[in-house]
Amino acid sequence: MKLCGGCERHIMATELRCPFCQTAFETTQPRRPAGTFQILMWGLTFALGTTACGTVAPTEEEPMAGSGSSGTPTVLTTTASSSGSGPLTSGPTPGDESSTGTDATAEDTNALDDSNDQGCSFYAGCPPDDWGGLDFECDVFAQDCPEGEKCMPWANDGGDYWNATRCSPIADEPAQVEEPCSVEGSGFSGIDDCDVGLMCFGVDPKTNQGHCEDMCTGNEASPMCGEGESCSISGDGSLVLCLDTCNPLAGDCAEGEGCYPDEQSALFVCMPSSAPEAVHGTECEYINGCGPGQACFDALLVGPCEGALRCCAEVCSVANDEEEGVCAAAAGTKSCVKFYEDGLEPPGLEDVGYCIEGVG
Amino acid sequence: MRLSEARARLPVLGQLPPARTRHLGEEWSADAPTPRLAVWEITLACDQACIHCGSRAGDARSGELDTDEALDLIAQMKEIGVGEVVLVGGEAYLRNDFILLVRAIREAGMSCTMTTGGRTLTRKRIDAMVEAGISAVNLSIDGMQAAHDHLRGVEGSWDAAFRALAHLREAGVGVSVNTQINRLTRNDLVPLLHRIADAGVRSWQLQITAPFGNAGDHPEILLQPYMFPELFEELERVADAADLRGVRLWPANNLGYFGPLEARLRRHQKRGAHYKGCGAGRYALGIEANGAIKGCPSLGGAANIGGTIRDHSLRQIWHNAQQLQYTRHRTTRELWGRCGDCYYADICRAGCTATAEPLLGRPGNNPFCHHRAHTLAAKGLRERIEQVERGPGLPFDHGLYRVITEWIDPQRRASEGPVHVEEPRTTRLVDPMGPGRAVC
Repeated sequence: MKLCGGCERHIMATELRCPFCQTAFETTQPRRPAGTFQILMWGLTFALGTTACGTVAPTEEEPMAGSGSSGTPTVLTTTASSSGSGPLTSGPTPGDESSTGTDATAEDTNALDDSNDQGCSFYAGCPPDDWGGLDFECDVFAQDCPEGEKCMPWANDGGDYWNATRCSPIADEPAQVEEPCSVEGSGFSGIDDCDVGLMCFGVDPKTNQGHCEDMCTGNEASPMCGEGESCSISGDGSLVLCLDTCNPLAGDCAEGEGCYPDEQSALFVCMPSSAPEAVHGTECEYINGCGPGQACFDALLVGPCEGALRCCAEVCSVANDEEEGVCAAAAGTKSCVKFYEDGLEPPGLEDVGYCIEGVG
Repeated sequence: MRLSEARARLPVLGQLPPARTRHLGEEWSADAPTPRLAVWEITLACDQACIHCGSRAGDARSGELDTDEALDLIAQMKEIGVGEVVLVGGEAYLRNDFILLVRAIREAGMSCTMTTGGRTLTRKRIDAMVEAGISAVNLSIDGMQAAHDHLRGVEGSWDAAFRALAHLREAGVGVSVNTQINRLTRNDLVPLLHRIADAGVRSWQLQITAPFGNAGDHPEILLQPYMFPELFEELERVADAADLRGVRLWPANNLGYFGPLEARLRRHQKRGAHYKGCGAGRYALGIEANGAIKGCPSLGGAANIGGTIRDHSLRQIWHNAQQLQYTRHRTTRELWGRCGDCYYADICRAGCTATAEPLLGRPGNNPFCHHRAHTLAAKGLRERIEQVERGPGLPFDHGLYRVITEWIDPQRRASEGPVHVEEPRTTRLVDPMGPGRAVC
């Protein structure tokens, strides 16, 4: 499910218009890549798209049971779980069961369970605040911590995967956006010296140094970022970062970063590369687990990558597909396959393709 | 056994093993999920006389497990993967091997919590609980003093609960408070919030009084479904005050569902900030003091009890008993009445089974719902429950109610009468699955 930004009601993830207040949602469907390519690519990331609302008069009619009001249900076929640890990975978007591969109309109640949910039955009490169980102590969008504190994503199990939020103290002279910063413990501790609404990101584990990055504002249903940025939601919904949009063909990200696909916006965003030395065909687990000029795809699509679930593929320009050597580094690859469907490309990204087997 | 003797028998350990919790630790399948949470009534003996008590506690249950049987059950719970054991009663602390059981649960690597009214939860008892390794305590406080003492049937009960709360905090025990919302307490919520916040509580569970056990015999205290829009307006005020006081609200499984306040109330509780259906028999199991195993801790009787550990192993009952399969296999075909047509039908599945079944004889239709009341109100309609039959007077039993749809406007209600009457339906003993049939 997802939250309607207009009336704060839960609605089915497939809705294009809120059945309660008629708020319209801009679908990301047209901007998604094509066919099989789409399904296998996005299996690594999220299903929930960005939303843009235009509120009209509320309705008082009861919507139909389990219905999406219109449009095509979001297709999401994962090839493997996206959960687990890693430098920057993505999990199910909060509120969106379909992102876990669950059909919203499936008759399997178990599929809706979540290991981190905190049920409180009649006799089984809810936890005291000092006894765990609280994975989302605060709202990273709303920054609703007490004065002097900020809401931060962190790994509450001491691991290297953001899975929770916490209120942590704001430093005395906090660093501002893009300024160098440091973290306490590790990049997953949730404690850094960036100002409220910022997070120390791209942290070098050897030095615990990074740079302050904007966190998204708005809310889960309608995240907001600055011009030229896109809200990337990952870490089970705890990590909400405004990342620079980019063009993978332009190489316009900072050193050490790559230009990787982002499901929320169906655009490309700059993220630190966790495997800068990876070449075409290298096994990958996360969307940023490839070199700067690559992206992580289902292994079936990437030529010489046997035995892996997902592998890195080189970016290429479909405008140059007929030229010799476009995909020369990608042994066994027949062609440069266009990333977006014809006519649905975001401006400037018309020629983006990847060196994969020509399916879809 | 005296407390001092129980304490003397406890093994001397420097440190208990790390405790699992109710959170899922491993993958499980739909057919045989792992019960993460066990709610264990270790005795029905009680030091209060609550007019809303679901288990009709007072005297010990006939044939309660002895200590050896209880310890064996703890081992079985560990073996099938339970993470947290919640001790309830009656009053769990009235059982003379209570401390021993707490320790055994913790030594088995499970969390041990307790839900209690705390009337005679003395500092001495609390110290023993702490020494045994109690993980946390959930204290039941139903409204301000007048309402609480009336509901608990004992004058001074409210004061005693706050004394226990203070003792627990002094002893360093994590404490949360739970409160039943009914006609006597619904206007006490804001003052009670401030009272428990003053006492240091930061976690507050809210639930409605459900019509099983003694509560089913008292329709005058039960909320009417048409009160829900007003109740949730009050809950919004409670949420505002809770934010200011730093108290986290935890709506229990029977307070919902999917209305305009759902996301705010559940945002810290559920990923996606919404109710996800009844977990009984899927991640929760209930145990009665005589070893009877059921899916829902708040339901009893032949439709819900899958067997007793005196006859079968816990694993056998959990995996194979037909009574525990209902929530694992039910679909929207089990829904009926307005819940069958609801937008949220596939996810909500009529909310709390322990609230729906005692009201109407079978689960699948639940008028105690904010979305439902809100939707009806927009059409000028409301729902009212009316008692049809009293329960027989057994623990976790229930009577029967019908649901009457009528106009909100009093004049139109008087002149036109009911718009629709939903009669109670056949039990799951008669029709195990499906929507059942009207019995009246």
